[in-house]
Amino acid sequence: MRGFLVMLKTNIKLLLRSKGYLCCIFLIPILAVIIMHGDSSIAKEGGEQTNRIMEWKSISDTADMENIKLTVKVYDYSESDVSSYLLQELAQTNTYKLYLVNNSKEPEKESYEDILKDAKKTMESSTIRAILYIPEDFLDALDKGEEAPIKIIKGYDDSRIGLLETNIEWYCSKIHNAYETAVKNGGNIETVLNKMAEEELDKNVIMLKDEDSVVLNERQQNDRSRIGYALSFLIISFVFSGVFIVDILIKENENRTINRVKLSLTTNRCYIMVKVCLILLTAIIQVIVFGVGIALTMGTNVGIPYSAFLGMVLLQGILFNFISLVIGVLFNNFLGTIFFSFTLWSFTSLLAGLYFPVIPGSTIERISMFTPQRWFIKSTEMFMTGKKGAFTQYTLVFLAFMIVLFTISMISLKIQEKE
Amino acid sequence: MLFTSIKNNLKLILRNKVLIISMMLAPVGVMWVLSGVFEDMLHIYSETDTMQIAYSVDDDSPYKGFLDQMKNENSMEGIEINRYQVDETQIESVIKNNDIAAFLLIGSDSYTIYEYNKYKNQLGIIENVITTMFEEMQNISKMDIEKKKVSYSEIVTIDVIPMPSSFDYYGIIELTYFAMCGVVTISMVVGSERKNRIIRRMQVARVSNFKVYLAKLIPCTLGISIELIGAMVLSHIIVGNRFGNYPETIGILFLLAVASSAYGILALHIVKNLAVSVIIVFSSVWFMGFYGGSFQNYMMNTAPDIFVKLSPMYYVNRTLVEFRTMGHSSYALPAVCILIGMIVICSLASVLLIKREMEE
Repeated sequence: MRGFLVMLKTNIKLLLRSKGYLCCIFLIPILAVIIMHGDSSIAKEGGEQTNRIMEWKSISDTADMENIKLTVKVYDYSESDVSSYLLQELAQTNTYKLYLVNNSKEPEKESYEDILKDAKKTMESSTIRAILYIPEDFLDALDKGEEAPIKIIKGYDDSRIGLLETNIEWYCSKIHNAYETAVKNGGNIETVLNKMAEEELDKNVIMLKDEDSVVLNERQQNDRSRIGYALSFLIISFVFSGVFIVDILIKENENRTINRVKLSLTTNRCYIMVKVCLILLTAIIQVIVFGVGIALTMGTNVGIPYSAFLGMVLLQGILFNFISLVIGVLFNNFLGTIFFSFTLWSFTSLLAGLYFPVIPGSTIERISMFTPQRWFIKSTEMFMTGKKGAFTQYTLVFLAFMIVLFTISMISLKIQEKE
Repeated sequence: MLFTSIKNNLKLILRNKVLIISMMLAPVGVMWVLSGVFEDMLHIYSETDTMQIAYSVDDDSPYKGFLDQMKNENSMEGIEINRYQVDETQIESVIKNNDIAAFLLIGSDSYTIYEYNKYKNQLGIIENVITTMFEEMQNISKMDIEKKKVSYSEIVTIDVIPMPSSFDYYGIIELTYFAMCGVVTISMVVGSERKNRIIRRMQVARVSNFKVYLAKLIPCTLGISIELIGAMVLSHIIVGNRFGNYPETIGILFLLAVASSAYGILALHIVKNLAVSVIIVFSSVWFMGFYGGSFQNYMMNTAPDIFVKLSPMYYVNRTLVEFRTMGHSSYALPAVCILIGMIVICSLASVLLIKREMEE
């Protein structure tokens, strides 16, 4: 026991002397707290939306990762019931995602020429594939039979734009017809259009899915992406603190400290226990710094129960510190350990979907199941949607990872010993 | 003397096979993941496959004749329509077993479309066709549409920069990203140099500072070039990306390899601790890549313009991507100037630092 305490004390002293280690246990978790405050993510999913006419806010809103509907930016300068009827009808075909520019929020209406000029940049830097321009005198133009009052501006050859044109032609001819009926019967065009809409058959849509994928709302998606980014930063601190712990081990090997330790009648088991304790201590300190930071700055509302959140982070901390230790034991070289753990961090975080959601059912998703971070995100999603057993599942996966790691390190140690 | 040191250092670099191979595999792995994830985002829709849809309609329904006629005439382009007489409970299994994109169940005053999520890219079109079909069926009798003389809308086509496919984009971008991380190639050599006090011996042999620098720069550049060639071949096989203007692309990639070596060697001389200098290089390259389009593509990057313009990688990335999509790029000249500038500045600083090191 005495040997254990002495070793623990010396190890802690050595660690505290290293600036990199201090950085890992204090600075990076604080950085992760700052990241948690950040808003919005690199890429969004389409999600389940019922309303397909959205307000245009900024170009950054429209870079959708799940780009499955034809995204159209709409300038409706007519602002009439008729033009909104046209947009509603377009939206209910379920083929388009319409971003409507809110005229009241714009200081000045752009002219058609300005829109044309702007169109190039808009289409090059977003997933918008068409721009729809409805002029102010849209109704008059219909009445007078003017040629092509509505403009569809396109840059890329998306084959759905032809469909958009066909749809517009059809709905405009309906509007035109309604207009003529209204004039003939002395009625109002809106009433005629409403009557036409009422007579339409009811449409129901049922979506059948292969995988039981999770559907999150916009707020939950935001929470998930913030957690993802913060976790990525935390994991780099876990990985590198593990590297610093293993650095001591490598140096002890080089300086034959381990032989001296053995001479002092301290067992191998005791030596391993010291390292395990260091890992636990480090992970706990990191999680405390992070947890207190979050609680002080943004409160405990992170989208999932706070205690479960910290508990999951702690398990990730232990796991990644341990992974670095195992890598270090295998490589027995500080620089090699750094490279390998850094690569491991970058690749697994990318694969696990910490930066952007992973498409369910894809090959990437299947491979990502081998990364601990993916299970963190999965459990977070389960917590968000209120599914049961999230923490139990996560703990079991954690244990499985630990067993695999332990086996790997034991086998390789045995091989090294034989050599 | 110079030749011997270059040869020795190159030998040392090539001896570390695990590192060389992982520097070839790493970009390919990241390319593979990112190009899959962002495939939809950079996709320009053009579906040519025929889609299967099915319908079920009662014999006495007014729509039966119309749908049967459609089925026989095959009037919808790209859509194959078949009739299945099943009840509601069997629809899901019919869809999944026959791999049908959508199933249309027609009632007396409503209709239901069962959509199969597997074909989510095509469902928008299918639903559109079905919705408008029902509207037309309903209205054609009521609306006395005269053959209209004018069209209501027109398509205005504007010129845009072509969009690269996600495979081409990330196939190019990740190469430049990992080339910038090339410092790892030489770091082991520098490590052993310090351990064995090679600098001290060089000093005794009166080797000039510049030669000492070149003895690192040239093998490091060669090492990175070898890694780049390997990654290019592998990525072409695995991801299937291509480059445009091969001579120019290879020229710029070579300049990039030199610049990356110069940048890395400078970092190794500024900070004495190998690990810390590698971490400095990696994190600075991460920021350059983040703003230069290595993760989120530079076209749709929402980062502030000023940061984007400050990232040297933005110019290189854009040049190489535009070579692929357009065959020319207005960013080529700035990219070359920036790379040469980096090489000159980093080399001068490194030589000065080596001089100081030798004098110590």
